[in-house]
Amino acid sequence: MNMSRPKSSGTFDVVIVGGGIVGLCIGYGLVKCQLRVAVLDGNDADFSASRGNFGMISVSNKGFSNIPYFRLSLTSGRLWPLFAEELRECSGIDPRFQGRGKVYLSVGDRELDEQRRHIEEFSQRAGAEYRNEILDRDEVDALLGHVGLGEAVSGGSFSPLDGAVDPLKFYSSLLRAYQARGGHYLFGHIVDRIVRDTTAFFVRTPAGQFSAPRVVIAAGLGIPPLAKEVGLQLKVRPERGQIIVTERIDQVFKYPISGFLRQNVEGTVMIGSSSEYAGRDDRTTVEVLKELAKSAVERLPSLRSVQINRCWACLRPRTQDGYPIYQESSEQPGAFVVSCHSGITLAALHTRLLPQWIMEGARDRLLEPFGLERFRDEQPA
Amino acid sequence: MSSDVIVIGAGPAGMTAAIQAAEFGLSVLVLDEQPAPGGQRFRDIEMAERQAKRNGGVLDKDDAHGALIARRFRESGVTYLAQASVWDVAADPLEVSYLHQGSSFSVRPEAVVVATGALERPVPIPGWMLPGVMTAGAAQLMLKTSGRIPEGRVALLGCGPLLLLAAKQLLAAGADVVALLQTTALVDLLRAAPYLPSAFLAPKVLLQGLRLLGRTTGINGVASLQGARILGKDSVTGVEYTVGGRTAALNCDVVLLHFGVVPNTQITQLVRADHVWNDRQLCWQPVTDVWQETSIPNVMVAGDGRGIFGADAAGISGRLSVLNIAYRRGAIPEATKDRIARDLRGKHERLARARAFMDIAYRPPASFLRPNADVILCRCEEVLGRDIQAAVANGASGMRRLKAHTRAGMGVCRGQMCSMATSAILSEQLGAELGRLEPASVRPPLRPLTAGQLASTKHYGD
Amino acid sequence: MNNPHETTNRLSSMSLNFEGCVIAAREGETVATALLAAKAGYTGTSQVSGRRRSPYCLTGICFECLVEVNGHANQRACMVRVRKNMTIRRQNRLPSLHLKGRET
Repeated sequence: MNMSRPKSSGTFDVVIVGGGIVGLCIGYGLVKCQLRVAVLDGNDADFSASRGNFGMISVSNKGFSNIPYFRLSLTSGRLWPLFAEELRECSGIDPRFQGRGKVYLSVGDRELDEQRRHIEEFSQRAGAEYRNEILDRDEVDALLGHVGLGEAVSGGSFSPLDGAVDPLKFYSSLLRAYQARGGHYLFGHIVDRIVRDTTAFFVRTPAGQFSAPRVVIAAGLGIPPLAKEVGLQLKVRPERGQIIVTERIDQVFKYPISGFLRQNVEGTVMIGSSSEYAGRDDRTTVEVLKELAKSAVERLPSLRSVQINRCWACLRPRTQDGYPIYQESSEQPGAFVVSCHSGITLAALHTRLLPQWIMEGARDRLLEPFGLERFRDEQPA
Repeated sequence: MSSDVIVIGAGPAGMTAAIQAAEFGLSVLVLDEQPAPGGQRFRDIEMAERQAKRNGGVLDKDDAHGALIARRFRESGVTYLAQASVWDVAADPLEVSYLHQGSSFSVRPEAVVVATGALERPVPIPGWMLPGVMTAGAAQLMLKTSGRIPEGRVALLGCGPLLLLAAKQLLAAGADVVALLQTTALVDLLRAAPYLPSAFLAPKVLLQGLRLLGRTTGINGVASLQGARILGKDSVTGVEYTVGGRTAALNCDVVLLHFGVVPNTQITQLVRADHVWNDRQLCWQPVTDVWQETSIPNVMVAGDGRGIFGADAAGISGRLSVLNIAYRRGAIPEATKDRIARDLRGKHERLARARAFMDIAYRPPASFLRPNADVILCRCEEVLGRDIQAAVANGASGMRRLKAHTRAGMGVCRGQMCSMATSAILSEQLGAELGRLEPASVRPPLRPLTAGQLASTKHYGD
Repeated sequence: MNNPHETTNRLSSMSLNFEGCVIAAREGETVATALLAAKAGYTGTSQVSGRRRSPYCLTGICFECLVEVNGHANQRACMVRVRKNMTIRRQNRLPSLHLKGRET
């Protein structure tokens, strides 16, 4: 068993600060290359977007204004089926990947028209690889298993590029697979210093010190102060999302509905999701939950009598422009920062492309547009 | 429409809090999940009183006192909503959301008194999910509310005064009680003796305790129980138990479990008030100041929800909980507040001292608190002890991560049945002492609510 | 001893329909105690493993006693008072969205 409680020290090839989905994906990719890796995770009560997300693999709504981001998401989406299979085999836990596609619901004729124009424009920008098909009301109803659509639903669209995983199963599966391949996972380590001498970085926590020639900072909302330690300036702000989870019901939703609904394998339905700025407050509010429920029963009136079991909120780390950041420190080469808002969608790609970048220094051309250079003109934090 | 105070729960603490607040001229809204006032201790006490009158009988002294409080509560002029289920309480701004007659309402009071009492400590032992297994408290409630006794041969198992009381009441009502299996041993009573409120009482109480540990007419009385397993495939057929290293078995149709009661901290945890582990009562309880205010301003706790002291103490605690609220609202001067508080605190302390004996004498043994790997801990999601162990091996370093890995505590009961047991296993695996790990997070809705009800949540009074 | 909870002279009784059978209930009691007294055996099965479930705490906390009351799924039998002509079924399956949609 490689999991352990705080240890005093250790020497590795790579130390990853942050034990969420992003950090573990990088770690998993690295241990597959036979490297000695330590993932340092924080405390149980820390904000964790990895244990609070919708589990959507979203491609078709990514990068309308930033086609490289669309390409990044698309590549990851294509890598997902194999990645999911590999995790299942390696961990014995099925992450419940579904790659069938995703439905969009439009409310009112105007929204449907807008969606139509949006798709046309997206196709022009992204080329033949972009796929998203406009549907009329009856077609949407059929795709959603004839649960009955609200009067205002005017139609929608369907994209086969998208998918979903069970967020909790995926997290368990990834953590198990990482450790099964020899990765070290250490929790209860809040990193407060990262220092460097000629040969290595020393990552210090109140409970110990870990050294490696390379260090990756993937600590979500905790990134900014740590990045400063290695000479990088960036902003990450918390975006709060609230989600409603229902009782288990019969399997009815074959496809997730974009930004709104997904049924888990065991039958619970997740209804979401809000997007708010509330600082570091990760509590739910009746006001927002009520709006989520209102919008749900307006679109799918049969949800009206479904019981709600649980509501929760989580904080997602959001970069200034919402796009990912992959940056090596020029001041302290060997130190890397990875921050993104779509840890689930990009998981397969992170596993595949980031190890090479970290070990060989060359950023894949897909990652190239996502350095910190793009913020150069802006005021530092 | 606004309220100065919302009291959640209409048991002994909630009723007295409401009566006291109304006497000070505060506007009070009482929300209670039961159809009538009384809480679990005095459940359906008004009906019992009416029936006693009709039968020409009288209630015993404690019940008569409960009936009196209920009558004064009815006459106090507070707004009382029966069968109102609180599903959310939020801090800053203070907001209580509840379901009443099929509709959801939100209301923003100046202060909240949480008087949700206690629940029987869930202790998972093999077979505890079988039909035929209930809590001793459940059997008592059944007797109180419907006059019914469990069908068939009944065995009571566990520890605590309520277990003994239930045995006595069931026997009196004609139940076929075949066994009283107690984990309590003679040494527990002796260990607790110095904590008796007066040395004068000691011989009497000890003697009573001893008698209860021994055989009662017709009942198989067993003390110093070390382990137990409930037998049966589709329903209970018997109990296998270990005493003095030897295993024995008995046949029965019903098993009533009881291992004491613990504070119901659902609401105080939901608002994220600070909690502390009470090592003597083996439970979490909210941290409160002398005015029973939690770390969340204007959220007070009254009664057993702050630590178990029983119904009499709860009645006093209820009154204490509204003193500072009334003072802050300008309803009473500081001198009055302090004078009433002094008197009430004295009484409360005397009752609290008496409680120490119970806590020590009837402490559930460690062997029962640390569940077996093959037992279902989380009934809703059916998570076994060994699933918890596997999750810890995979890196679950606390209750929240454990939930994510295993779904334990994610089901309909909101973790109320399993969180103590899962935390005990987690603590053991991590080498932490009981009560060192942060409890799992509590999320709304605390009670079932449909999406349609949530969508049409109204402001109270609209 | 004067038992205030004496079973004789109880309030009037009524009948419920449980899984197609008529069972007797006492006014003022909950569905859970009526089912326990009727020797219902079990009141539902687990949505996870199919094991049999029955009322456990009678205080609304454990959710073991979930039943269908007049077509409404997942109701706590211990929190529902009996009413005339109630139809109770064991909670044996997952609620269906289609059925639920039609009820409202």
